[in-house]
Amino acid sequence: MTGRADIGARRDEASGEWFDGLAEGRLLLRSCPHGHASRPEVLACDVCGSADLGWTPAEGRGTVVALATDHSGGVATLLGIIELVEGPWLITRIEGRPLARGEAAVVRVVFPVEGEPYPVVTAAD
Amino acid sequence: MAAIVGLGLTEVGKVYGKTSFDFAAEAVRAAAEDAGLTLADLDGLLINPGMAKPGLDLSLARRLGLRDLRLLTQMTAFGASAGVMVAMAAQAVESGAAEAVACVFADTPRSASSSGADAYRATSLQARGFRSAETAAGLLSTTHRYALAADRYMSTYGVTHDELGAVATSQRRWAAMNPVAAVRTPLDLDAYHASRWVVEPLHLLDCCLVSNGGAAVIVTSSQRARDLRQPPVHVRGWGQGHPLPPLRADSTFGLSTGAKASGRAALAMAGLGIDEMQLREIYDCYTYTVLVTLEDYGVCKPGEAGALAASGAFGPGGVLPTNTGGGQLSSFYLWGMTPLHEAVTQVRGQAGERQVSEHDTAIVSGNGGILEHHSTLILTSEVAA
Repeated sequence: MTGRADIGARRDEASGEWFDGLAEGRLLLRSCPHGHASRPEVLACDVCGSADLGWTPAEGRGTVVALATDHSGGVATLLGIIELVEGPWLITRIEGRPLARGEAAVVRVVFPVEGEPYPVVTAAD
Repeated sequence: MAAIVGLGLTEVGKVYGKTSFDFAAEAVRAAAEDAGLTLADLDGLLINPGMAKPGLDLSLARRLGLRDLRLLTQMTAFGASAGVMVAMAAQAVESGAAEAVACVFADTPRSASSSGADAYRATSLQARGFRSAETAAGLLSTTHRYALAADRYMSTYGVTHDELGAVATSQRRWAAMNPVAAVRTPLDLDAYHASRWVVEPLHLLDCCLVSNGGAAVIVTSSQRARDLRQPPVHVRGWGQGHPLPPLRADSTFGLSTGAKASGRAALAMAGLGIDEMQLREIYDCYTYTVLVTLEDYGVCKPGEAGALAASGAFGPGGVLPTNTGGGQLSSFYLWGMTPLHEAVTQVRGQAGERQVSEHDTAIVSGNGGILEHHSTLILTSEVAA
């Protein structure tokens, strides 16, 4: 954890089930009847446009697409775009050893003192 | 056809003690005066609020003393708003829905105790729901997201920090000749590299200024423009592009933007090619956006704009004069009004020491959100080429 990342995640009406999933240690994605997975905020499937959306747990594995490092406060916080094996991108903090683009990552759920749980990633090994 | 006939700019930068309404009123009055019009001549007002709260709203019209307007609305496409407003004003004028329309932006994100970055950061910090999980994880601001876009772009095409830095140094050379530019001191690549990281790969000098102030333009018919005070700047073409690629496998995020569709539409409407543009006034919230926008406009192939920047093409004396007032990086940051203001000034031939010798055609860009919204204007000194 970084000192600056203590801005608590807060649920709203749309995100309650998603945060409930995280509370149980699962990263949920939107899924349509054709089996496509989309990011949780979509109102229509990213792939086929279906509005018939349920929730499906992600495998929790992906690959780093892009990186950024926040150097403020004298601490380097590595952030990344992680392409989940299901297709959608997870944009979050990379914890533990730094990862390079193209490297495998696994999802882990952080339970902060304040605010809702949220996903981060770490090295797969 | 429609033309921009009035240009108003308030004092900009670290200017305190005024509200967005004060700046907006001053900008609209200045634009009308510049055109040789009175406020009573205006029958349309388009209002683009910024980030600071409370921001501009429709009450601006009444408080300014405007009466019997035929067009009045508050609108935003974030950084793309200026181009969207001018296009809407042009359509209103061409259809007869209005005769003289003011388009205004004003914002006061800075305070004596805050750099203004906080005003932008606050938007992220106030997030609820799904997005708040990203904020909690450390995606604290717009710059964090642009840093990811820039990283993808740089790593895909092999674009270097020397090339991003060349955008900053070229624009600083232009700013040195712009009396209203906030930062006019010389800048070399060493100083660029030495500037602190904001969010790597973006140095402080990859990022735009944050300014208080206001700017306005007046749009009327090209025919009426002939009888007004200033050389008309005709609005020959406009376009928008909102590609909104899904954030998933095969996304073009960071590599291509709405500039592609927007530029194509604007140039087609104008009946002109990108090679016929003598000036490029490009939304430069970051050095990186200049490069990706020029590529999307077809100035060069994807990944090649950095080398052009490093060649000196964009700076004074270069073959592709770009952001000739110093841009948002070095002059002032009033969203899309920054590139629009410089384009109008240059096309009129009123840019003084930094005046580009060939200044009959300009392409002007606006970029909003995280590369989500784009607008383009093609401005010319003549109604037809």
